Order: sequence, then structure tokens, then C-alpha cells
Amino acid sequence: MADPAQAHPAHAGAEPVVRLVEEIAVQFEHRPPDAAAAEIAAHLRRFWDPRMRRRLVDAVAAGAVGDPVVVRVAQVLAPGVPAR
Amino acid sequence: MTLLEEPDFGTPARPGQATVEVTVDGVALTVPPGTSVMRAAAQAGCAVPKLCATDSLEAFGSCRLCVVEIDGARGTPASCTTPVAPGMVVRTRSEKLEKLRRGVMELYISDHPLDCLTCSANGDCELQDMAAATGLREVRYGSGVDAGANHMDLPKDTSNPYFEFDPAKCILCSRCVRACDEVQGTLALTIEGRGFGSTVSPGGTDFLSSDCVSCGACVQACPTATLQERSVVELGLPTRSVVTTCAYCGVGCSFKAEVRGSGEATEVVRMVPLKDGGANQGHSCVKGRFAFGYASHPDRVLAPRIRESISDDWREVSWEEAIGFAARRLRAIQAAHGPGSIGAITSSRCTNEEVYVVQKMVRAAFGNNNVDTCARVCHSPTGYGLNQTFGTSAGTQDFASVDDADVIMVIGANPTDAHPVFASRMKRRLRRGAALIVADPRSIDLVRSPHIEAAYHLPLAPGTNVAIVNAMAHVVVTEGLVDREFVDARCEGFDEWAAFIAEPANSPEAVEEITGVPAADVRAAARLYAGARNAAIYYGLGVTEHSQGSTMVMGMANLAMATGNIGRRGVGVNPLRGQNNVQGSCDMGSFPHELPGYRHVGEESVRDIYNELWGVEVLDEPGLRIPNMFDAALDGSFRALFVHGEDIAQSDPNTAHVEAALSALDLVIVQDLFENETARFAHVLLPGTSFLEKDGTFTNAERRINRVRPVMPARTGKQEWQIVCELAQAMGYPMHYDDAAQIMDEIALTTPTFSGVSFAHLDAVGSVQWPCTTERPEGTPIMHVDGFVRGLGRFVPTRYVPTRERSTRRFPLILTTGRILSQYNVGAQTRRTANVAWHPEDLLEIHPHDAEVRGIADGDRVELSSRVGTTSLRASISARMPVGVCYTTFHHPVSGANVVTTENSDWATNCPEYKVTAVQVTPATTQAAVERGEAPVGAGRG
Ligand code: SF4
Ligand code: SF4
Ligand code: SF4
Ligand code: FES
Repeated sequence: MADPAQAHPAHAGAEPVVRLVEEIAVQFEHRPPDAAAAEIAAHLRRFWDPRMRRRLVDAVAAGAVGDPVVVRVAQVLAPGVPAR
Repeated sequence: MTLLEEPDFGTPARPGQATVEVTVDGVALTVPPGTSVMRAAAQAGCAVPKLCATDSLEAFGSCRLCVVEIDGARGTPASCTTPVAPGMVVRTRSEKLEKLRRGVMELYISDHPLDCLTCSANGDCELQDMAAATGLREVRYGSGVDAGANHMDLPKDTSNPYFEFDPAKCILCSRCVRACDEVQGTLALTIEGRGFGSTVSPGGTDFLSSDCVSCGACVQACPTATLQERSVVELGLPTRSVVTTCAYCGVGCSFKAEVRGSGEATEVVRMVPLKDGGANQGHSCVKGRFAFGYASHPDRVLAPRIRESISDDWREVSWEEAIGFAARRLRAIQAAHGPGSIGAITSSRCTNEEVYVVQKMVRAAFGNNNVDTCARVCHSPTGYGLNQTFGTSAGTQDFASVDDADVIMVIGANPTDAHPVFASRMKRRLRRGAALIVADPRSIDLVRSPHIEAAYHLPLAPGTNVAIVNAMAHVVVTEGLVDREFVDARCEGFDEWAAFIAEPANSPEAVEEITGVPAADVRAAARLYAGARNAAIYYGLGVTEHSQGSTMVMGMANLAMATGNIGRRGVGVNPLRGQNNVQGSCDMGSFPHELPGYRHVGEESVRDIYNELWGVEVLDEPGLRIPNMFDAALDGSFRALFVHGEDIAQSDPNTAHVEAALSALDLVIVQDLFENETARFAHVLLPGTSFLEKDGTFTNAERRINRVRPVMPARTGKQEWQIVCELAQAMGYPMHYDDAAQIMDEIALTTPTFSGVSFAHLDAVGSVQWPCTTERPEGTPIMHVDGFVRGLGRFVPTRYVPTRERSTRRFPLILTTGRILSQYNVGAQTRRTANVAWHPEDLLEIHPHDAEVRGIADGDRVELSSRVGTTSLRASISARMPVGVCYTTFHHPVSGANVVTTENSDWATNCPEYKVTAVQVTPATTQAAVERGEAPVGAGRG
């Protein structure tokens, strides 16, 4: 069976939610980091199923994400995400 | 019910107030200036005999059957070409006129085979009617074959699969030629030769080999049996008609389904576009008019089927057993894996009522918001982008608005193929002088067609839309072309946006290297657009199906607001929707974050409406989108999917990924007309109904709600909404409606923008464009007239971010995808009609240079590979492709274009990036490739 995470070389082994949030984050790269994180977090609250936000928070906690803005996004989201 | 005959007033209506007083045969009436005497006479109830005139065409004045007498005028003028004048007194009957008309008829009849009794048009022939109306009794020159030199031995042209051309019956009225010119805009027909030798000709060849696109306008215009539907020849003339709506594209043409027989024995003879149709005004394309045969195709699934596992054979079962099986397994999965482990996908092909009940089933019976729609993969960025800027997710104009546009900008759309009837209307406006800008990597047909030439074609590199629209806006802002009055009064966020867009990085010169479009052309196009009295933008999937699809929609909205091109006729930002009910399926709450009417599930006051009516607690958190469902299927948190009338295994990107996800699910329920590709992964297959069997409504790209009326009973014994209700019931949630009208009543009750809609209202007025409220029952053709839906229009800075999908050494070409006229989406319907005559297979269009360096000749079989998969198809070498870019359609499963498309998607909505895939193309020379020829191979499948 295909492993979707293998599909893009840049994301080998990555969680789909990490790929998705990084796709969003590049769109906000020109914004100041805090503003970008707030806007991205608001977007994810509006459009992402809570389980995806959970997976993102977990992936960041596991150190799978380097982008500081995404790390900040996870911090903003963490209090509101449902338990596993 | 009887056969509906719409009156023919002979010449088109003229706009404006009825101010000209005339008297016809003693009847006084007032008509608008420019109205013909013929039309005035018909309105007065004194129709004049005619042959070369019909009210879909401008008068031509060739037959001279329509002569009248006018007080004070010399001779007997033709009433079709004579406009009314104030105080005019007209006589349509006199002995002299009758004699003249009989003389004309005699000449026609003398060169006509008088086989009326065996002719397929017997009873539906204007020549026959006129012979009777003029009282023709005898023909002095002999008639039929006795009449000396004649045209009766000319051979028939039967090349077109849907209609025949029998020149022996032609009276050379040239209605067909003019219909092709004026109505369709293809200009495929001419009158060849002179005098007695004249004939109608499709450019000196047969119809199938000609430029003809088989729209049927000529067949409809022909007053005789010369151009005749084959189905009429084979089945005989229809006996009754039902007015309904085409189920193919987002134009939403109204038709009279003309049929024979009743009940289960109903047979559709032909589909005749309705002159009164709000979207199409009597015109149609080849799909809507002719390609309805799939509804009676033997491949139709008519009984429910189930199986334990997808490796088992199907078992045909009763409805009860199938629904019980599905409901039990859905509940068991929820018990084991949680309420959020199941979901559904609604279909843009289904009616509003069907879509509404599916999302209700998800929200009320499933108890989650895991509902999405196939619009996810086409126009979800439209929803996001227009909502952010204007405040609602819909096109701003009605189709008729294009008649007032002075500059038309078409971006990432190919209307002549994908929205043909609207394209005909647009082309009419272009022939009459509107200027055209086309932004598209390909030189689409519109760029240069008969009597139309784009002022600017901006052949941008795929994936650089945002750079182009920003560059145009840069010109507007830096050259002082902003409509300050409009911006100051109607918008917010302008200063921040203007500062961003004026940055040198957004100038046409700076982006030239990225887009490949000469800066001078971008500047000139921007000046043309901004300087127009009325400029309108029309766009399609070439805008949305990108990693910055939503950004681009906002970019176009910014451009329109900055130039004041919103809120009146002739302007606007208009998505050309793909499928018939994309607009409606989105309106009906198909998105996981929105209840009907685009209201977020987080809004408590909105949830309360449904909580109270449905007796449940609607979840306040968004659910999974289609691509998220696939990802969640692979991580194990999503286990069951109900797929309503969509073939996700064929239509969604990265086939290997989709198939892996579908295989991972514990339960897949598919409802469809045919055993489609997705059904390979299904455990339950519920047969669907065709549009000819449905009762409901579709909403087209201009927000027009049209009635879909059943022409015959459901061949499966059940309406689709009934099946959904029964499934919800079997899961323990009471859901019942007596009929589809009740569902619309519930929609109107709960959705403010639909509060004025009901079947009874639609039956009375024909159609309405939402918002249609109790205060504005006539609907809203143009939106944002006095203010934006969100109050002030909002400028959103739209920074260009290149897609991560780039050409590389391994995959040096960019593949982009699209559709063609004769086929429809995954082709499940059109492939089961004679439309395959025009598109038997998907082809890969490739530039001559790219083909040559690879040793590929026209028609060669090639392998197309991307980083996710490889497929094989035939090459078509085409100079309308730019170097480095190739193109294909996705109508046939064997070519599997989506085997190569990737998981990249629009950042805001996850709409797949179908329009940009880095690929390599190689000749399919190896034995293995030849063997694989008919079967696409997805990387990593199995
Ligand atoms: S079918 Fe349409 S395109 Fe073809 S000749 Fe007739 S009017 Fe023209
Ligand atoms: S084919 Fe029909 S419409 Fe065309 S010129 Fe002949 S009679 Fe008239
Ligand atoms: S333009 Fe679209 S709606 Fe109209 S007939 Fe063709 S496919 Fe049907
Ligand atoms: S109908 Fe007027 S000239 Fe033919």
C-alpha cells in the first residue's frame, strides 16, 4: 500500500497535517511571526477537524516540526484541542 | 400533459419601453421601437405566414411569404424586415396578399418531394403549415419529382450521430446558417453555389468532419425535415413534454423533454431547449440536447447490491436488506471507533433536495460534521475567496449581464468547451464589439475564432496566476487608474493593500520572468480592463485548482473592487461552475464547516435553528474535508464513507493515494447510476436515479434555481432522497418527507437567502436567483448593488507564493488538465452516448518542440509519469500549447490522468492542484509499456 507521506520528497515521513500546515505557513511568511501564528491558528480552528489539530499539536510536541511559526501555532491551539 | 409549443413571434424582441403605437388588422397595440411589423402582428394575434423568419434570429427577408400592406407605403413590404413606425396601420390579409403568398408557396413546393405522409416531420413542418395557411391547392409547375430540374436526388448526410441532413428537402431559407452564426457562433455552415445550384454546406465536407460542434441550433431552426433529429426519424414525433433542467454543466439550461408514452414505457424522443429558459433562452450544447441516452443504458445499476468484503462478488438484495446492512455497519463502526469515524460526500450532480438530506443525515444521524462535496476539488477556493472579500460564496452576475460588458477577461476557463451555451452568449457580445483578454497557458479557442480575436492573450506559466493578477493591480494602483469614489464609499483595507500591491516586486516587469508574459502586454491589458466603462471577469478551474487558488480568487476580487467593477450589469467576478449543481451543493451546507447558506457551524444562533428543528445537537466544530478523510482513513481514525453520486477514485488526484485510503476503510457505500471506479472499493452499491427521474431543483453558476421535473418514474423504484432518509431512519434517526417539495420548504424555513423559494413559486415564475427572500421573491440577478453582503468590500493582500511543484530534471514538463465539449467530467454519462464520436479517448496535447526532442509523433502512444505514478495515452501534437507545458483531459478511466496528479492543494481549502504537475513524457516503446497500454499503473499500488 502506498504511504502518502512518501509522496513528496520534501515531506518524506511527515504527517499529512504537517504538510498541510506548512503549505499554509508559507502563505503567511511575509507577516510578523506572531500575527502569522494567530492568523493560521484562527484558520485552523475555522476549517480543521479537531482531530487534525490534535495531530498537529502532537507532531510539534514530538519535535517533528522545525518552523517556529508552526510551533507557535501549536502552542496557540494546544489548550483547545480535544484529548486523544 | 401535452406537448408544450412556445409561440414564435418571427423576429427577436427589442429591448426598451413599448412606446410605438400601431394598428394591425384593426387591433391597436404599442411595442418597443425597432420591433418588426411581423412581431407586432403576432402580438396582436394576427400572425403573418413566414418561412425564413423565426424569433431566435434576426430577420433576413428572403422568402417573401410574409408580405403585408401598410397604409401610405408603396407595394407589399416584407413584415419581418420592416420595423414599426408610430401610427402605422397594417393589413395582413387581403386577396392580393393571399395571391402573392400562394405564388411563393407554389415555387417552394414545386421543388420539394411531396412525401409528407411518410416524412418524419409530418405534423411538425412549417412548409406543410404554410401551404395550409396560404390555402395552396394546386402547383402549376408540377410538383415533387415531376417538376423538371430539382434537388431531389441530393444525397443525405448521416455523418452526425444525432441528426441527419437531407438536402432534397431544403428550401434554402438559411435559418440553419444564421442559427449557426448568430445563436451558436460557430459559423460552420454556408450557402454554397449560386441560384439554382445553391446548397447548404458545412464547409464543403460532411457535418462530422466540419467545424460543427453539434449544438443542434440549426436542427431546431430548420422549418422542414432537412435537418432532423435521428431520434425523431426512429421513434416518431413526441406526444408530450416536461420542462426540466440539464444535468450536465453549471450553465443550467432549461429544456422541454419531449417524449412518447407514459409511466415506465416513457421514451425520450428529443430534448428541446426552452426559449423561456432563464439561463439559455432556447439554446443548448451537444451534451444537453443529445447526450441523454445514458439514462437508458444497459449498464445502469437498478437493484441494490451488498458484499462483506471488496474481494467478494456482489449480491443483489432488496432495498430493505441493503439499507439495513449499511445502517448496522455504520453504527457498529461508530460504536467501536467513535462518532467521528464515519462521514459522507455529497454530489454536485444531485439536486439541492438530495444534497440537503445527505448533509442532514451526517449532521443529525451520524452526529458529526464529516460531510464534504466534490466541489472541494473544483470551486472550494471560490467559496473561500469571495467570502473573504465580498461576504458570500457566489458569482456576482446573471449570465445576461455579459451583454453589457465592454471588456471581458477570461482567466483559467475554456467556456467554449466547458460552458458552451454561456460561451455562445459571450461570443455574441464579443462579435458586437466588446474587447477580450484571455489569461491562459493554452491558446484556447476563444483567443481566435470567427470574427473574434483577443486583444491580449496572456499565456502565463501554469501556477503563476497570482503573479499576473497582482501585476495588473500594480498597474492600476501605480498609474492612477483606481476608482477612488467606489473604493472610498464601498470598501475597506484599501490603503494596506495598495501599499503592498505597489511594491516593485509586483510590477509586470518584475514578474515577467516568473510568468513568461511580456510586461508590456500585462500593462496594456490592465489599462484596457481598468479603463472600460464595464469590465467583467469570468474564471474557471484554471484559477481554483492551484496551491494559491483561494489567493487568486481574492486577487481578482481586489482588482474588480479597485476599478469599481462590482454591483451593476456588465461587470463582476464570475466563477464558471463545472457541474450542474456545484453552486447548489455548496449552498446546501455540504462543507464540513458550514451549515446551509454558508453559515459556520461555530455560530450558535445558526446551530440553534437546526437543533430545534432536527431535535439534535449539531456539532460546533468543523469535520473532515475529502482529502482529510483520505488521510484519516490511512491513520485509522476514519472508517466508513457514504459516497453520493461521485466517482472519487477517478476524479480525485493521486489515484494511488485515494485507492489506498478507500481500501483502508471498513465500509464504503456508493450511490450511483453505474458501477463506477469507486464501486470497486464499495461494500454497498445503491442505484441512483438519472435527472430524467428526479424531482427537485438545481442551482446554476448564476445562482439560478431551476426546477428538475420527473419525465418518467424512478427506474430503481425510489428517489435518492428517500433512500438517504431510509438510511438515517435505519440508524435510528427519524427523517421523513412526503415529497421533494417538503425538503425545499425546510430549506426555505431554515436558510434566510432561500426564504422565498418553494416549488410552487418556481413553478409559477420559472426560476429565481438567490438571494430569494419573502421580501424579494423575484430574486437577485446582480449582487452587491448597494453594498457588499459583508457590508464593506474587503481588500486582502495577495502575495504570490510559487507552488512547491516545479519542473525538475527528472520531470521537466508541466502537465495541466481540463475538459472538452463533448465529454463531461469522469465521462460516466457521456462515454455511454454517441458523444464518443468526438472524443473516443483522452489525448496528451504537447508542443511540437517538446514532442520532437522526445521523438514523439502525432498519435504515438506515450508514457506520462510524475513522482506519484505513470499512465499511458496517445499524444496529440499541438502548437496551441506553450513549450514546456502539456495538457490532458480526465474523461476516460483507462487513461487515468489522476494517476499522475499529486497531493498538493490550495492552502486554504485543500482544493487539489490539478493544474500543475511536473511530469516526463516518453515514447511508450518498451514491450511492457505496450502491454500496459490500456491500464494505468499507479506507483506503489497494491
Ligand atoms: S449543430 Fe450547431 S455548430 Fe453544428 S452546424 Fe448546426 S448550428 Fe452549427
Ligand atoms: S437546411 Fe433547413 S434551415 Fe437550412 S436552409 Fe435548408 S430548410 Fe432552411
Ligand atoms: S451548456 Fe451545459 S447546461 Fe446547457 S445544454 Fe450544455 S451541458 Fe447542458
Ligand atoms: S419571413 Fe419575411 S421574408 Fe421570409
